[in-house]
Amino acid sequence: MRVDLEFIRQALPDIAKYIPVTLLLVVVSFFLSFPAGALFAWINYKKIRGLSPLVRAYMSLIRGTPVILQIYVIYNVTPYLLASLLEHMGSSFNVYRLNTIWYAFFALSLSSTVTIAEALRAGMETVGRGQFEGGLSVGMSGPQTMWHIVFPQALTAAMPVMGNVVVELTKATSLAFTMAVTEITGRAKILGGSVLRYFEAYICVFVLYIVIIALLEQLFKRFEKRISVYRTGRHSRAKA
Amino acid sequence: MLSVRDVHKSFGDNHVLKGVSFDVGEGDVVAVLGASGSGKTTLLRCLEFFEHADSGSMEIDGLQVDLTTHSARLSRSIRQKTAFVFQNYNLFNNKTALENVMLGLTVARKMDRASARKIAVAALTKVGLGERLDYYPCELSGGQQQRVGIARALAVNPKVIFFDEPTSALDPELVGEVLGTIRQLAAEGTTMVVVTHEMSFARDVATKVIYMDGGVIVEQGRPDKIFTRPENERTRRFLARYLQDFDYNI
Repeated sequence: MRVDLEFIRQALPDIAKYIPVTLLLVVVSFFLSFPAGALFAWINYKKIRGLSPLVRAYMSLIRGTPVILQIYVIYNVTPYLLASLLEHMGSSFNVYRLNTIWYAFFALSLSSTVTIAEALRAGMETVGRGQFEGGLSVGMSGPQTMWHIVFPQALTAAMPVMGNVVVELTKATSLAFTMAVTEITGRAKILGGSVLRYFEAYICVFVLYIVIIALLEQLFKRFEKRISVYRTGRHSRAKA
Repeated sequence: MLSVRDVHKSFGDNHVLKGVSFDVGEGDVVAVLGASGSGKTTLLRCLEFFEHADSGSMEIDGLQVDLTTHSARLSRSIRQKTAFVFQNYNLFNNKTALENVMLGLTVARKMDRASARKIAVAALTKVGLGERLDYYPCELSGGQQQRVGIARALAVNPKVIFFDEPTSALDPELVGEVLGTIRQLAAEGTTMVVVTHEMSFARDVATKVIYMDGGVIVEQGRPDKIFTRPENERTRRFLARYLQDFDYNI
């Protein structure tokens, strides 16, 4: 087999132009799933009656189904439901003109919400009861203590998993093409298909994913180091 | 200023507090003594609403409150009048010494940062940690952490500070600096209730000593009376066990 280097040379920058779409999918999906995951983590941590079983049912539903299937369901069913709902409400908004990237954001954030919720809940469990009582003792309310003391420590404990979530999310964006969102994988398929040079096109995205993910990992490592400064200290340790 | 009436508390079948009542006057330093399991810590935790008492009430600063309350709002409004120093410090791990002290002011009392900082710096300076403002708890020794804990309690200007065995988790050589700080507060007239095993501290610093055993107050009174002429046999035996060290110090 002959590898068409000339094709790679031309295709790589073309595919790379779609990196912003891939990153947009990662960033928006992550910022959609983070608050939802945090809320679910809190509900499960507090074992809130009525809500906690619901959240756990949702989590096993998402965990127990392939992402591609979730995408099919959301991409095919949601517009239909949305359209009849809007029609019922008398709105003239046409959902079929909505950019499909919105479905991609939603579909991709489903499974990361579950992972984030689990990681944060586990992180909350690592924060001792004493931290909470310390907050109450100075007159803070329960929610204030959660926000200022427990949650930041839970987040730090969950950071390694958060890094994984972003990596998984980045890889999962390659499925967005099934929702007619052209990101790097989608672009590679189009380019490769047009001249039947799939192998070379896939080499290009292969390299791009490795680079993007390596950079994201670096970014997360730095962020993790920054927010966990309280664990290591800035000064030389004076532990007696 | 603080009066506690008839506190009962059980954990399952274990009846830990069987009707405890006592009074604390303004400027009093009350030392609560007793063997492990006598209910001292549980008593303090009930007064701070960390545990719900089964029955009992407390009057603080002219405010009458039922200790069995489950109302988060009521517990919080009472906690705003008190402060608590923990056996294992319980400093906020993710905050610096200064932030630890400021949080009770900026978050719990909505004070502006500049005024809160001023008070926090003054409190930390008082406990001898004016040079350690931006240190995290993990960078401080046990004694320093506990002094931050005391500064955190002081900063909110409480009516009374509860100390739950403040030196029990410390290495012996660090006990002195913490007791010294508490002594200093006592000399300034801070009202305190101190659960402790430090007999000499109770004898020298307390204005009132309470001896607990089996969930009741066996004896209470001025330290000179309790330590030299205890009336109850149980008190006598307890003190003899703890004070025997001194027999060799001639």
